[in-house]
Amino acid sequence: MPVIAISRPETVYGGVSGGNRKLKRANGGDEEDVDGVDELEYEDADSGSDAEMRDLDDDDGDANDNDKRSGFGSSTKGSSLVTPGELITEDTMWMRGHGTFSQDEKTFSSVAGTITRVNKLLSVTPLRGRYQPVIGDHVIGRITEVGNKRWKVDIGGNQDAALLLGSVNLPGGVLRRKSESDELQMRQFLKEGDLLNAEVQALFSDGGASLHTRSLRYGKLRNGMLVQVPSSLIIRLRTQLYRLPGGVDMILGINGYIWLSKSSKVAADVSITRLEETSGLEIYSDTNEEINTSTRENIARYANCIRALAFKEVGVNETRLIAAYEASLAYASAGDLIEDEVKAILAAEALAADRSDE
Amino acid sequence: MKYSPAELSYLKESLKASPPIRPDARLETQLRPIEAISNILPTANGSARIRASDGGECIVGVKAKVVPTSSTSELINVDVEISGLKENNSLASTLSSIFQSTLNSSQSLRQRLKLTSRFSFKLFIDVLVLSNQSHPLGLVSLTIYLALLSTKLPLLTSSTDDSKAEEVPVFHDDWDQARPLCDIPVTQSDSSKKSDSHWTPPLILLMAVVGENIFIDPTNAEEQVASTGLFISWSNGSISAPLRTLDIGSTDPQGISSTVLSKAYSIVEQCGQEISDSLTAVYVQDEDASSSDF
Amino acid sequence: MNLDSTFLSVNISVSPFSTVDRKKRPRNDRRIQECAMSIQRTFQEAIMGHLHSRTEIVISLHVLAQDGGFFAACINATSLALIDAGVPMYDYVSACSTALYDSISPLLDPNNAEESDLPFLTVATIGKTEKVSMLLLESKVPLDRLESLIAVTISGCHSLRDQMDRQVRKHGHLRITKRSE
Repeated sequence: MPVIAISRPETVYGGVSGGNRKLKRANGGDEEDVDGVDELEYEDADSGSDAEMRDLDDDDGDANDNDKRSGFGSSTKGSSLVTPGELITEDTMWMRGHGTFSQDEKTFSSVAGTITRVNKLLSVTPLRGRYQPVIGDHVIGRITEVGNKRWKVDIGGNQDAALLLGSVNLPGGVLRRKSESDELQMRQFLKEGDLLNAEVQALFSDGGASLHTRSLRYGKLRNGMLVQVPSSLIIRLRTQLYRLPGGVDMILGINGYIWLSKSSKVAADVSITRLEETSGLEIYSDTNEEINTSTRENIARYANCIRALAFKEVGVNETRLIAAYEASLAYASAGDLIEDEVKAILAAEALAADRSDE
Repeated sequence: MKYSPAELSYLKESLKASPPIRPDARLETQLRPIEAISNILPTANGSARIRASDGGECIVGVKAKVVPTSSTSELINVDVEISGLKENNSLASTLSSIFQSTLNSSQSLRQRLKLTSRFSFKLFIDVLVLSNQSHPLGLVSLTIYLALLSTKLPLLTSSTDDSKAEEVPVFHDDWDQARPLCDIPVTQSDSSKKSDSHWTPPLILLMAVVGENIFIDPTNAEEQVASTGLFISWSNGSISAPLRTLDIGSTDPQGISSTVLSKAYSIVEQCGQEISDSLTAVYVQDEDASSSDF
Repeated sequence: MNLDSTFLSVNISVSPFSTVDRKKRPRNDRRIQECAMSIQRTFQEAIMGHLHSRTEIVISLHVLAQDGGFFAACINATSLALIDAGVPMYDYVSACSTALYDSISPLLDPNNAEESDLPFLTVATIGKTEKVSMLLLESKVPLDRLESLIAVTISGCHSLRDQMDRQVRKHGHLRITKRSE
């Protein structure tokens, strides 16, 4: 195994890796750009491969799979990729959603992305953007601030979500009223840095989200580690909780935060009476259970498999992840999985398994 | 970046285990993959850019200037800027001084910069850390290494002996005649050919200590649970000065034992040559690519 | 600070190795600060700030190499970075500079040497309109030449808008194909 794998850059604009965008957490998007007068020049020098040039000429072709997906019809050009300021339609029948704006009754795009149409709602999904919360989403977040009767939670969106004191289970049962003493000891339940899994309960008018953890499925996370991928790689499904081979549980947060942990003995659904019993202070405990070596190794292996899928921008789901994991077992040392070639192989295996599954 | 107590204790337990389990399953001696390119700046004598797989990125430009040897004691000036941090913050100045003193202490580099009895080149190594998730020392070191490899100095055409008549050095105006600052490092296989005058830039490798274990190229999370950081430099095929502990933002700083130190030595001995070989390969490839452009 | 809109903060850092002669510029250099301020004002108009109220967008520009058109390049790079980040905008903001040679002929996109000897102006437009969202002229230009100078610069901006759009589409198609693989 090489000590270090070095590749030469393909493009100036690299892919999105989970950590990349977490640079400065202003309460908004953050931009990072290398500005050089000769930027375009060396990009061409590096990446002007034939394949890409063809891509460029393909603007008006309909070869893209995405055209079918968005299904946007005759009123636009063939390509579903639009850029800021581009006229999408002059037809007034459309309702304008995210990523669009109107001028003189015409609809324009405000971001670079693909057109999506739901009934009469027309919106443009940016190629890259932060997680946009939707009510009912199962997300994983990290406490950034303990405030007045609320916690602020980073969920990878444009702004931190709020978790109200009234939206969590407190020791002594779900249904009791929150008292002033609860307010004073909020940090004992959840403090800065703590990870939790929660559901988006409501959205504020400015796009911010309000979370709740009032179910035993939600709450503080222990016994494992977090892996972050772009939220666009996670698909909303009935459940986001999975039990994987090798004694590992996974919570697939819709916001791209993925929690891998030791399989818990307790089944996910607990009767309401059990719930009373289990909601003691221990649900806010910071202490991990005993975790054996093989579980820890499997967790690290799964983490690398998830990163491999993200590297190739392959959506993360259970089938694909298990396929990638099984393919990864060919590499005795899971440390091999961090290399680009291996990542590509795993991602390809995962996709192949998913196709044959359908 | 703040982690939860449960995450940190999970991580610490895993790293303390024997053998340790790193969060990305890497070996103690294994670095994360990087993306590297040299010679990216048209206005510099040498330059490089390295991107780490966690989104860290560093750009180094090397510029040379002719100065009277008597006017300066230090022929190498290193200046580190870290995006998002204030000028002269402690991290940037620590890095600047580490590299500046390491490079200045190299006698053969000083020898190479000497032009005439009165004049020398002075190297200005400007480091820009565009983003960093983990401690930037290792990233900066690899980038400086690659930038110095790609550094070329113009060919002197005037006499090297100006002790009698003081004259300003004159250089060949064809850039193709420029001389590389470093020798192409010999690879492991033909290290027997190495001569004494051979000089390659030093590499400084950062490691994190957790319990009785030590890891090269720690991630941000690993740094948090480390009891201390340790860096060792590798130059011309062997371990060399400096060797130092470094605060890498650990939450629970502690000293290190001699077993850990000897593990650190063996890690550097295992990795040093391979890292320098890999970076040399990048440089050679870039050189070939740029010469085939014309 | 306007709470109903996004707050943009712009930081420009110029690397010492960006010019032929190494020069370390302090971050609070007056010209650079002014440049950052104009960029902030220009983009405050171009982005749909009302969609992200009470948020801050930090724009960091690093100039690694320069040979004229400093200000214009910063604006164009900011445009591309904002689009890459998915920040809603009305259109591309593109900028370009033009020098006046011999008091008669406009020279598009002057380099450092030309900029230091000739009067020049920088113009930014939003999209393919004739609407000038930013104009910077720091030297004397005969008034009767100004109009044609601006017209030439605007056409340069439009052509740059097309160039940038091509790059964004190229990148976008790459991303889409990668995703649908």
